[in-house]
Amino acid sequence: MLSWSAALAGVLVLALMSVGTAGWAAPQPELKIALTTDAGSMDPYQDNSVVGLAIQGLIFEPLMDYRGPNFTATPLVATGWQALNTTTWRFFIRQGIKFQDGTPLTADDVQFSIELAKNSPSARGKVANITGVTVVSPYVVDIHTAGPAASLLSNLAYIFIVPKANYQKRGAAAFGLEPVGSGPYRLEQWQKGQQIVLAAFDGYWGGAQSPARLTIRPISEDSTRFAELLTGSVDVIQDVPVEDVAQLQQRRDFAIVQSKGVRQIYFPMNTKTDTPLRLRAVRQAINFAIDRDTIVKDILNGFAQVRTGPWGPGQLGYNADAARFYGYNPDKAKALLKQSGYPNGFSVTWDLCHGCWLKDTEVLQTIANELKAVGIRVNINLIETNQLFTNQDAGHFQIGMERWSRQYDTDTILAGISVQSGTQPYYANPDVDALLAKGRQTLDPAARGKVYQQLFQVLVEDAPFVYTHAQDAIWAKRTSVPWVFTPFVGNAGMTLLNK
Amino acid sequence: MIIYILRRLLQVVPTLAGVMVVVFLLIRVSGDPTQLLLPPNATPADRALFRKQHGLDQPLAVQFVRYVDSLAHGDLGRSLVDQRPAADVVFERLPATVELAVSGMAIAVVVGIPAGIASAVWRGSALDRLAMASALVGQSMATFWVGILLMLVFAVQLRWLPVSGRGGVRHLMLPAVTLSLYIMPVLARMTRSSMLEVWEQDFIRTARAKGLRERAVIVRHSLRAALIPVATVLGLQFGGALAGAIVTESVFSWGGVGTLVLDAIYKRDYPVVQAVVLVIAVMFMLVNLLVDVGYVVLDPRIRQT
Repeated sequence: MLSWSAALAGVLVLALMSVGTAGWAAPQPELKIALTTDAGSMDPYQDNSVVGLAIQGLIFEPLMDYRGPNFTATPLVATGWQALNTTTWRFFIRQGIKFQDGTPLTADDVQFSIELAKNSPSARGKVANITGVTVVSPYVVDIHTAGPAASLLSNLAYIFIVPKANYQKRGAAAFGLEPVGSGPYRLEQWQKGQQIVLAAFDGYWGGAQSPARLTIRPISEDSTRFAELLTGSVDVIQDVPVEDVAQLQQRRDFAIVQSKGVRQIYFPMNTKTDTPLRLRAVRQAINFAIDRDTIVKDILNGFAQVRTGPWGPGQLGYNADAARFYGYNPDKAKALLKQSGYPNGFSVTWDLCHGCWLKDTEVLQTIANELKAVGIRVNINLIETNQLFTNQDAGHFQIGMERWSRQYDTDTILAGISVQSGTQPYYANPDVDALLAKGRQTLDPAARGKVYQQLFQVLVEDAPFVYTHAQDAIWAKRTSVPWVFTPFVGNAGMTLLNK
Repeated sequence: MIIYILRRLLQVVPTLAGVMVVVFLLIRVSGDPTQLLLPPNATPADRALFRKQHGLDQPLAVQFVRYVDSLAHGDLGRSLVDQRPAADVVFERLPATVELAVSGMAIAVVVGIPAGIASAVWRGSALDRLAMASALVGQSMATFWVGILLMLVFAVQLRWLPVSGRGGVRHLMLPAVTLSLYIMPVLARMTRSSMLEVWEQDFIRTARAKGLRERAVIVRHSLRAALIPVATVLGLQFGGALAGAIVTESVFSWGGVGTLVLDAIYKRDYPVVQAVVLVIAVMFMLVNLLVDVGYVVLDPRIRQT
């Protein structure tokens, strides 16, 4: 499962790199980082986990990415691009890029990488709108799309360029164990379950990177990761338990690094069952009955942001007016229930997988108590993560769970929360489908923003989800490490060099 | 003896076959690998492609036949995560788990059995009460909690040992002691009760009546007989050691098969889960075979039955 905060590994690591040699007080040969999990494979078309992507993003590069504090579209493997027409984009490949096996990166490798993505169940969603790639010359490719594709660039930021000859010769399994990319770091050593050591690639087109070596240790247990930081065995850790934040804040040798609202939790309601959830007014009532401020301040100790819609401020299409639709209003909730024919409330089963998100059990118990006050009796059904999603995909649930990060592109958020009919069996709204399609084909950013604002409003008022909050990312570092955390946008941990 | 061992080895085959069938079915009905191996924005078509690429779109019976066929050729399948042979994925992590389990067992044996003997010898004394109380406390404590406690004291506060990770002997100490605390109480209590039971036997009475020193009675006569049930427990505890290693490996980021199988189950990486279970089952059966052979060494009369 995509672990949102694992993607921040890329932000962390690459933002660190962005400080460069100028930021280090003294030459720093090595940086040690503790993440929550190990990568599955270094092949970007086998492993789509966020940790995998974050580390792959140091070994490989895409055509372009979003960099800097304002996440500006930045050329990487491509030096530039232009739209030849509404369905063809031309990319100019940077000359002189070498892969880590010494071979030059050319247009053939770009074409091959996109073809790999199209055949990869985990990556093909990002290239679904690409119908073909034409190699015009060794350093020019044309990418053809099925109609105007507004999200093309943001999707291409996830498509890493791999060496065609090397990959075909060795195969996916071998390549995933010993990858060859054109990025700033090469894989020096990988002891599965123990550590990944990356060394700066001397032949990187962008120049040598600092630190010269990155040691990434997968440490799943929160207490262990925390202990490693306290003893100085690692320099940076991902996901500090909220209970331990105060301890670190009292110490001068450590610093908390927080990024607000990066991971939103959604609770889809099954509108296709013969339960009160089929009624919009009932779904709205549930949203009105929840005190989000209590959840954010008291349960999550302030390490979350209130959410009353499908995404938060700063994301294209955020609708501030629509976001004010839901406030904590138990009286209105009761009125809506009465109006719907449920003056005495009803019972509902709410699926929960323990450990799936921050303080999940406490948050859901709080919600259950608040809903009880308006007459809705929540039966919390604690089940295993995979089973929860399997049930949800089959429509065998009443209220479930999704978790998704902020993304470069709003369309990626919408795809991740499966609001389009046909992608799941529990919700369908033709207005949502129409606006989704329109958003994908509207190339002008301002016009696209208006489409998504409209969609935001529909999703608020139709309430296919219970909206509550978005978790912050809480990392920690030793203060001697010169590193500035930049706001995380999405799962593109690989492209978070903020130079 | 050779025939005995061969006969026991042959018994392993139907047991393994049963294990194979059970784990094959259980893991497949437990969930869908596409849920966590593909991103949330994967479409039904993406999931269908994944299943097709990995043969998971075939009927269960077809999948099972293919599995058995590949096993017959020594192929444990390929990981759904990285396409590598599941055998490679398991065997690269196995040494870490064996190292931890053997070390934990060794500490448990070296401390637990003498503690049990001492408790039996000084039965009713303060030492006996202390040892048995410690065993009870040790058996009641969760491995997870013990591991973190030891880590906080010896690694974080005292800085005597590393926090986590696999390396040399210093890295091994905390996880091995944690694991041994799971096994040691059982061995101590079993040894004590077994010794006390043996001392009720006529041959021990005879040994004492002959004027043998108590030390000789204990070491030369009692211990050998008392160790037979202890050997049984040791064999069973090896399975416990492997199970306990899962938690210990997680706490100490040990990187063995325990953490591998947790991750594989979570992601429903069917071939890796099947491979792990198969390998552990074989190891468990071989260890118990060694225990059975040990019986014969401890009590030659068993060979004649």
